[in-house]
Amino acid sequence: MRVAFGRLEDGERSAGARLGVTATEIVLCLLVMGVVIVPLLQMFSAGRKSAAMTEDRILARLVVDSIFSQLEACTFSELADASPLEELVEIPSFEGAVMRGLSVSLSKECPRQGIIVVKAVVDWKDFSGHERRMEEVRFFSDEEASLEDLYPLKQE
Amino acid sequence: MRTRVRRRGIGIFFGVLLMFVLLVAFVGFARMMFSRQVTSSAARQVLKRRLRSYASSVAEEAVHYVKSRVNRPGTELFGIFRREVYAGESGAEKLHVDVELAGAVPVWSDLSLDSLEVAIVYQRQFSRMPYEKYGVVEVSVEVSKRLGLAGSVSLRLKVGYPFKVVLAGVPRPYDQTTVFVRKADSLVEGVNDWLRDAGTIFASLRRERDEVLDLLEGVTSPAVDRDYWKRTIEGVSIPGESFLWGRVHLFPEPLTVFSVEEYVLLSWLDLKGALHDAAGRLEGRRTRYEQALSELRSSADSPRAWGRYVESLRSYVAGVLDCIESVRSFQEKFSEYSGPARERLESFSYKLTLAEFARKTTWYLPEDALGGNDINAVMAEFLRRHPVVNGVVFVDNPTSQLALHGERIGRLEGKWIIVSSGKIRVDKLYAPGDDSMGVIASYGRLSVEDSNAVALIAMGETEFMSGAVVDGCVVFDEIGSFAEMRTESVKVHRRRMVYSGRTTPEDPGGAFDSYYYVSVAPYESYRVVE
Repeated sequence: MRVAFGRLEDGERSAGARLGVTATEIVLCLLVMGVVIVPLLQMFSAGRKSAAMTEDRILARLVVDSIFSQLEACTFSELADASPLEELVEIPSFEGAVMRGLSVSLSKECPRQGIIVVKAVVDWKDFSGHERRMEEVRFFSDEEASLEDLYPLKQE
Repeated sequence: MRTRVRRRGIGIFFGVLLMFVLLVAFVGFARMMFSRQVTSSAARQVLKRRLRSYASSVAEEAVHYVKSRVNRPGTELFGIFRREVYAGESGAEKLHVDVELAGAVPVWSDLSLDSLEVAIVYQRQFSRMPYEKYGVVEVSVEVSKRLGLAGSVSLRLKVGYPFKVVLAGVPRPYDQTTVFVRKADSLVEGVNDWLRDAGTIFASLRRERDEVLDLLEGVTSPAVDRDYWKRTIEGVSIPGESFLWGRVHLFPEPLTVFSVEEYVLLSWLDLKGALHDAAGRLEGRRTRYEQALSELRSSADSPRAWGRYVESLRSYVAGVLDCIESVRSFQEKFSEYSGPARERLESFSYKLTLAEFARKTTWYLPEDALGGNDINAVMAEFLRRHPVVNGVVFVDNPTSQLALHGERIGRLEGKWIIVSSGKIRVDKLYAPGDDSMGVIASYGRLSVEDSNAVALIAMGETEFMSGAVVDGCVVFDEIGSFAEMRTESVKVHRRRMVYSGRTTPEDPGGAFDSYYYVSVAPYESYRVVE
């Protein structure tokens, strides 16, 4: 192999000799490219994917936060009376940012008198078309609970 | 022997390419690390927001636990919030609160609630009463999420809610009375002078009777039976000083009067009116007496003159006694406080001021709340939203009259004090049953019609429609004119429920703590995220 890339015994120059590199150098070069470039490309791809997903998650989070901050401005009775809850909020649209297939749904339940649990579900599709979902829950209590209570006056 | 080969060709480009690739790799790696850092940071922020949402929900549940129990007898919180706090004490109390719902939400199953502390962080008296106070309830929540083996993200949330504890009834000690008049001097104005005059009248009558008896001794006419007239005249009882001051006493000044009877006709307070009527009748009797005395002096031989004298003397004395009875009746019906005792009572009079009620306000209703100047529209909207009213409702109505017609607004359930800074009219107003109680505190003109089952604190002018009935108690600051107040046949029934007990540092258990109302503010006074 030593002659494979050098001057042949018959005076002919091998391909490697014509390039001016030795076989060892070519092997090393390919090795480095293989070891560094291939994973790097994969990481680039993953980084782009991760960045896109992060951006989507941040946007979804902002949607959730916006919804809950709007709901926090409502009174407990407004929350209790609203049907559906969507009529109390405006889903934000972020200029320049695109979330594919964005949909928001709100639901509420009253596990105990004076407490409403609101659940917000944000669905979207990521850059590769996979469906993603963020769920968040927030408790709202009757802010006037202590002001409504009636108890009997007793002459102890 | 190895032959050294001179390099020729384009192989150098491989080296350059490799260097370029390495450079790109370095840049790419740096970008990747940066991207990962941003991603991690964003993930942490998202996680923080999740933690905040979780912590906020735990705090909501915790404060609701407090709010829904502070006015429920039998709960631990009911008793804790009603403990008396004296000056110099912080009033800090730890509260036991159970939170069950937030921990059971599947979305938060990866988060952990590390600690939950709910406490009254401080309490202060509004003025000088240990049972009426304000303070802050603080909910402190710490939540976290573990990240891998070593790392974790945690968040601590502190939320403070103001609260007030007020006596939802007539301020003590006025709750023990049926009718209370703080400044009663105008009720007895001139009465002391009249009483002194009555003493003078009796002395004068006795002196004149002695003169008449002397005159009788000199009568020679057989038509006049001297023994008979002597016995008759001496038989007329003319009270002495001891009798007078045994029946009545001079009114001290300054004066506060009140009654604790089962019921009081407000006309009983009109001593000057009663005395004026009796004195008017007395004037005629005095004239007849003076005429008879004059006639007797000029014609002592006439039996008819002696008869007129005796008759007019009896009538005059009876008239004076009627006047004295008016005073006696007043003094029997009403307790009088003056001097140190009144000063002690006066030390509580700050409780009747508008400023004191303003401090204790639970609800504030300005007349322009709905854009106009119609306080009745504001009150209607308030009652629509709050079918049960508790606490102190401060109505700021400098220009419009608040009309509370029971037939229109229905029975006002709850324990309430409606404080009006302007005119107010109450008509058939009821706080129903034995579990509700209402108080109207008026600082403008108060008009009362028909029957009302409320207590009245009348700090301004008051006008009663004829036949009005108050089932509760009435506290007056002062009564100016009975003619304007029109108190004829106005009756005040003492309502037993108005009394809320009494408390002293030695015996705080004497107060009925179900009369204390705790209101936790519907808003936060502070929120700290650490």
